[in-house]
Amino acid sequence: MPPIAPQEFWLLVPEIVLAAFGMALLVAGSIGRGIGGRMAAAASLVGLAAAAVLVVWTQGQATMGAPILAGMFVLDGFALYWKVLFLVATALTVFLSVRFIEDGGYRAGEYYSLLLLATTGMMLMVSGFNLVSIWISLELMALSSYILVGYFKFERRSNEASLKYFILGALSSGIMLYGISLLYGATHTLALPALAGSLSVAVLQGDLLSTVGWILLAVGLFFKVSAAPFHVWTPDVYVGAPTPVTGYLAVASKAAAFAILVRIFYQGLAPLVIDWQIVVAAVATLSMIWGNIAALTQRNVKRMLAYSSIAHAGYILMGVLAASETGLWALMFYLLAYTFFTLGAFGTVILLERREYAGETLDDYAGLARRAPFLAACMLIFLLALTGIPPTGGFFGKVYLFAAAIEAGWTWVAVIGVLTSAISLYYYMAVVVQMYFKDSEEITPIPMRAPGLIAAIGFCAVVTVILGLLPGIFVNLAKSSILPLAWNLL
Amino acid sequence: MDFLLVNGTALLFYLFAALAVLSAILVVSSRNPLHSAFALLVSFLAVAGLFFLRHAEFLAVVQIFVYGGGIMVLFLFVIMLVNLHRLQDAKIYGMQWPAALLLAVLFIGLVSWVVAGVQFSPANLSPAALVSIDGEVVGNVEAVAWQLYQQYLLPFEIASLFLLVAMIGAVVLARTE
Repeated sequence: MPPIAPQEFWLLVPEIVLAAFGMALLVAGSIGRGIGGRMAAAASLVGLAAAAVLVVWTQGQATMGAPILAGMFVLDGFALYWKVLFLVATALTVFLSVRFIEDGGYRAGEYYSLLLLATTGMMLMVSGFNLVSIWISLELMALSSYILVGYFKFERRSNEASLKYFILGALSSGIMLYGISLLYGATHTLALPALAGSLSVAVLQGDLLSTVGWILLAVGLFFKVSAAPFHVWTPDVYVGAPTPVTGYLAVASKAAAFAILVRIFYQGLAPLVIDWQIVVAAVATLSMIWGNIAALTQRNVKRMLAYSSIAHAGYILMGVLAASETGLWALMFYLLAYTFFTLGAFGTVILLERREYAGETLDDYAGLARRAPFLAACMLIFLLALTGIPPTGGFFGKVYLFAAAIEAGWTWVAVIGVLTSAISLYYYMAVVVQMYFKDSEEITPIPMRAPGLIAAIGFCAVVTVILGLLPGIFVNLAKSSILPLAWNLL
Repeated sequence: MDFLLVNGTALLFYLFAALAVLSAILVVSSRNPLHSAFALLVSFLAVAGLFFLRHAEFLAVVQIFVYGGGIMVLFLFVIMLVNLHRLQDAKIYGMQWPAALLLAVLFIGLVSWVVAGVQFSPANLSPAALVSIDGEVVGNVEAVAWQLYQQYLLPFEIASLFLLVAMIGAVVLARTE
């Protein structure tokens, strides 16, 4: 292994800048009476924008796909795509958070600081090329999320959610680390390409140690993407967390976990494709069935969205299952669309939220079309996208995923996907029925203060529709970003 | 005597391993938090013994310093400051403990069966790998430092960010507003 050249550190500059902004916010938050909420939000947006510019700049500086920093880090189109997506999702989360943090009366500096540090973890993770750097970046992201979930520390629900998430998360990290250690025992390497090389020999010898190793590693990853049967934490954590944090977990955290799951499965565990396809098929099927059926009975919209997020993990796993280029770009396109319509849906919940958890139950949506027509129209778009109905990005996303699964010969999984999507129509439309066909006693218009939040919801709605009308542009974007990659499977 | 000389390492391994496992069981089964803390200390020290046997001296000493020293003192402070007397008559296991026990035993059985079947090549059992840099024999501390600041520099730096977040978290969640 050649020593690390000092100039290689320049390629880390987006992550360093983002972490520096996070730390600066921390300092600003602790001087005197602390930094104001709007000020902190503006500073984090500047940090995110700077990181986005630098991500694109470093991409031009690096040799694509060549591991650097002693094989720990890689810059390729795949990493670029996800990093930009994480930065956009975090920026939207900042817009969702401003009023929520102000109303809650909590300090803003630390909140945005943790948000930026969690995003730094995601960016480091998706560029990770060695299981050690991947695992520690994943933990950086997870630890920041545990704190954010418990940020409203005077609310019992938030405490409970944070504790549950922390204990189960620590357990899953332990299981994952144990799996990694067994893989190291079996192959003597943790670098993804070398791992694939060693495993292809191990497969021929019928090695059991590496089998137990990769299964435990996969369990940890399935926990992070909240796929059944490793999803039990999801509903309680999503309901208890401050709603902007819930949105962040459902979107950015999930996208990051999927990105790294794909990288590990496609690049590190490629020789085991026949084995892991069976496991992924089982987990995907179970997630789709469990998530959609459990969502049917929910009266709390946040809880319903939590089960819907489990179901969506199942759909997205179909892209992994396909183990093909089509599956890969279908997954990337779907997570792009999913980011906008899910964050939009959580944004709507935030706008309706008042004291005593109003705005969370289904009844609070009654007559929304009359009280806030713009908001109801946006929510309609998000719900259509969540179900997978045109003209939204959700429709094409699902079509591509199902097509990828069928192309790879997993027709029965795709059939279950279509059937469970039909089930999901019932509970998503229950909200639409409340909004458009039920009258509420309250008929006063909902005050539309918080222009940043409303702009973010509107932006999400517009992008969701654009993704449904012109999917080709974004599909080409996803396709071109996997092209220069030396994927072992493709 | 000859038997001891030939099999000394193996005997010590089983001794430390049994000590680590038994004290770990005591940690979760004891009703008195102080007993749990001391059982945990024994478990840490036994693991340090296992590291010594594998010639990972640096790791063994760090295990004693950080876990046996620092972490233990923190635990004892918490037990002292937080009133834990009520734990004496509280239920310490949930309803599902038989199922959990069954799963744990099955899992241990599976892993032991798999590990027992593995033929580790002799090169990997050699302690020389832990004390050499590019073929030159040095101390274990130097060898670890070499790895840490060369190959694992990036994860090492990320770990420092990770510890910063842990510290922020403790302050954020524990501070009185």
